[in-house]
Amino acid sequence: MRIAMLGLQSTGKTTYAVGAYAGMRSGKYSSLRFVKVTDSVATLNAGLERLSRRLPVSRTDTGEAETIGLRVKTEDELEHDLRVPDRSGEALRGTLHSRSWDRALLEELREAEGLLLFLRPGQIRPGESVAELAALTPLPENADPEKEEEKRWEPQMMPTDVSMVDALQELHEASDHTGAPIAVVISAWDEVPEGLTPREWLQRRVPLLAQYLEATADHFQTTVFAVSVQGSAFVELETEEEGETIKVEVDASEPDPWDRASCFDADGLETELVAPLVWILNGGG
Amino acid sequence: MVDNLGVQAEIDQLLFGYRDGHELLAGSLDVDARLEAELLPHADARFDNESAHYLVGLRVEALQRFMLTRIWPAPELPRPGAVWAHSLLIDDRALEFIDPLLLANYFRRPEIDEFEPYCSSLEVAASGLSLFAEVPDELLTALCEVAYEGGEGQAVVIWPDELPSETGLLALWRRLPLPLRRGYSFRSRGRARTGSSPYAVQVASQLAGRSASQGVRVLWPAELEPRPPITLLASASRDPSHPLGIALELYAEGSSDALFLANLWNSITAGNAGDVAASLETAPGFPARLELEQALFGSPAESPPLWELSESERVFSLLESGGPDLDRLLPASRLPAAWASDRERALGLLDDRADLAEPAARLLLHSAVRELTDDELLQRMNDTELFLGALAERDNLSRDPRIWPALERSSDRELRRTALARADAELPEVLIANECWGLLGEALEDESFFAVTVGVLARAHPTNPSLWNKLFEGRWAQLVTFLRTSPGAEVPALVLAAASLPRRCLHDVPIARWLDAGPLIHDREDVVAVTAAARLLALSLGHDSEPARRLLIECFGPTHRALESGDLPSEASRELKAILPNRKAKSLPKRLNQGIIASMESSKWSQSDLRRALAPAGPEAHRLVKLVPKKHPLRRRIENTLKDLEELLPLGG
Repeated sequence: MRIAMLGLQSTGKTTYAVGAYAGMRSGKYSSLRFVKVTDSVATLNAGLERLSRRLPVSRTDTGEAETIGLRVKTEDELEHDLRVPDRSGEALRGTLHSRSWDRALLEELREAEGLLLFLRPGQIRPGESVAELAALTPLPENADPEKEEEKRWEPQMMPTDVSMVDALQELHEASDHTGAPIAVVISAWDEVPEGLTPREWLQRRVPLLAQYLEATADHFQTTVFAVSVQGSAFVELETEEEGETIKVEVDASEPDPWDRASCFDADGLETELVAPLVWILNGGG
Repeated sequence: MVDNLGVQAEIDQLLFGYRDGHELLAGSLDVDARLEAELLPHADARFDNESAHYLVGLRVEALQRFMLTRIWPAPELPRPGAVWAHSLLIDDRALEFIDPLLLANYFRRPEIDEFEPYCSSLEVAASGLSLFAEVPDELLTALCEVAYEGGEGQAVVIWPDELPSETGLLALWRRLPLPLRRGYSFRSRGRARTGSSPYAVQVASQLAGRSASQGVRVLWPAELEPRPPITLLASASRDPSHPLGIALELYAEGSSDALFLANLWNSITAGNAGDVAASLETAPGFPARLELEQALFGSPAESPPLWELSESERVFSLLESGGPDLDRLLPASRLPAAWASDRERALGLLDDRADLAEPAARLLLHSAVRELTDDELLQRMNDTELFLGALAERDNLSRDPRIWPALERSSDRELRRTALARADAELPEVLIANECWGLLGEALEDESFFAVTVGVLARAHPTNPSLWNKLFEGRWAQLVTFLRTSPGAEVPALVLAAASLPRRCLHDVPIARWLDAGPLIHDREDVVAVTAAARLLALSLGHDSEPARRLLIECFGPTHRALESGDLPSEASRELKAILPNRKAKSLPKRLNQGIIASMESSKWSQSDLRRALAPAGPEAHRLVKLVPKKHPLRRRIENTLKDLEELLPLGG
């Protein structure tokens, strides 16, 4: 099964893939078990090494998607060949900014039988502030132009929910994507103050996207998960002392990356990190 | 690469790095969002190992430039995996004369927030190829294998060290035939997938992915079997001064051309002239065959064994082997050396050229007409083709008097005509001296030659009527026409004509034209002049015009003198007898005197007319007096004139 990961840059796509892979390899999850690799896992291993050292996973090269190829087994003992291209978020950004699909990205999305849509709370752009809106509004006739700074609208000013709805609409236009389930994955959930379930967070912080998903529920199954692969923000483990970089060794008692990771379903109930994948493998059920 | 030293190229540049994601940070030209999205993948990389930098090169159609990019890891930036990428945008013109190895010196890794230097274009001086590329043989050979033998397919070359990888790619790229270079694409990277990529070749330290992909070739350089054309191309890529590289630059437009040149060079260095010739014959569509062949054969090379054969050996070998491309293979400029080094063999080939292929025979013939001495040519006058060619090519040949007797004997009218056409103003004398009457007769058909000949005879043989008659007898009408239409004809020619033309033809030339000859006839005493005088006098007596009277005055003296002395040829005497008055009188001089007195009476001669007429009349002119009645006013004028003349010139008797 082909599953596409869609999200802007630095929204945790690769980190999630590394965490899920690491957990499966360690046999941590019962809902999805590792059988074998079917493609290079060098990037996943490199990411795992970084996670183990409490270092963030490296960003993905915009030039080439790393396809994660695994054979996995679900609880019903069915084996699936999972292929998840890990394409950099710059591809989606470029698509939105240039109003022209990145061809490789579009091809992956068209072929996908399920979609993981990544959002990172810390990067959510809620929309223009009053000041920004004022700057975008034409000046009154009696205003002094020299005192007012006019600001030209740019694509990157688009609120995140608008961007994502735009992307989904465009994808819907450009492909016959009807029916493929969409799991929204809120990454770095540990950065979100407690008190909201993932569904509530989605409705409050990216309301347009939430409404869009609700409104199109007849076309495709949707749900939302929240994940924290790192478990928490990493502190700087490399320090400069007298011009030399000192690497701080990770404490032996430090939990393994898969033990630090957590995942919650739409209602905030903890589940396995691979739950979004399983949900898609089960056809969105 | 063409010589453009001194030229500056303006190279635009772009800087990419991590800000809000990997993006364009600065540049010397505007890049819109769509183009930026297109460029980003070629300005980004994953650094899995300790590599210092990677290289990417490909043509960007939207910019009509070649984008050459170096990418560095940027660990100083907060996002792991961030990179810097500095791109140089090279237009087609600059591609022709900039050594990419030198251009690589312009790559500059940025410092955080110091992007200003990237906002203006770079002025890069033209260099031509100059840097020797330090690249392992195996790597460069593998890259050449991909570029020249790989067709449209993609390839990944596995090489562990990124530094020679980058140099190898640049060395390969700079030596590719220009059209190929413009569209080539490459990159170095840590891990390369074997799936489809935008690059013709990738050099990676390891492969990513397990499945063999379709259409992407993977090469491990150490496992390659080196083949001569590819190893040669690798050498030419490494060494800017390699002769094959220069030939590639000048003549190759695609990979097939390059392979052809490499194979050809291989044959050359093996000293195998036959293979060289065969290669050249079996290379359809080569774009600049002529120039190439001339370059390969026409210029001396420093050491390759083929050049150890003498140039004449190569030339003879090519002539004997023939072939449809011989004209191009053997420019005429190459044959003189062969003639100089082995004349006997060249002459032998020339004489037996019927055995050669037509192009070779033609080529040899054309060279022979220039190379043969006059003696060698004269020995081969039966070789009409050769001799005609020589006459056409060599101005001095027609001046060689030896050719004309031979031509006089030749029955080849075309050869004779060609020879005559090449002749100069001295030819009539040459032909006369050599008694080539047949050739002269043919030559006189030509109006200009006729005029020249008339002039030659007038100047050189003014008193030789037999030569004149020999040439013009049977051509009187042509001579009359010439005299009528050539006011500049020399006066001695008029005299000769007056003495020789049939009587009926004399009338066809206006009296006024004959009058031009009057002074000369008046002053000369030779038989030609006397004959002319008598005949023109007879002519003028039949006309009643001022020119006729003037001509009578000029001709009377010489005629009278010749009659009195008996020197007038009988033919001229007969003509006079037929026209002079008083036919019953026996004395022809007396009849002449009576005729002149009749003219004097009718047209009122002046004293100077009398003096002019009587001056050359000889001692018997006083007989005129007795023919005039004593009281006739003319008698006294004649007496006075004769008296004056006696004082000036002793008339004798």
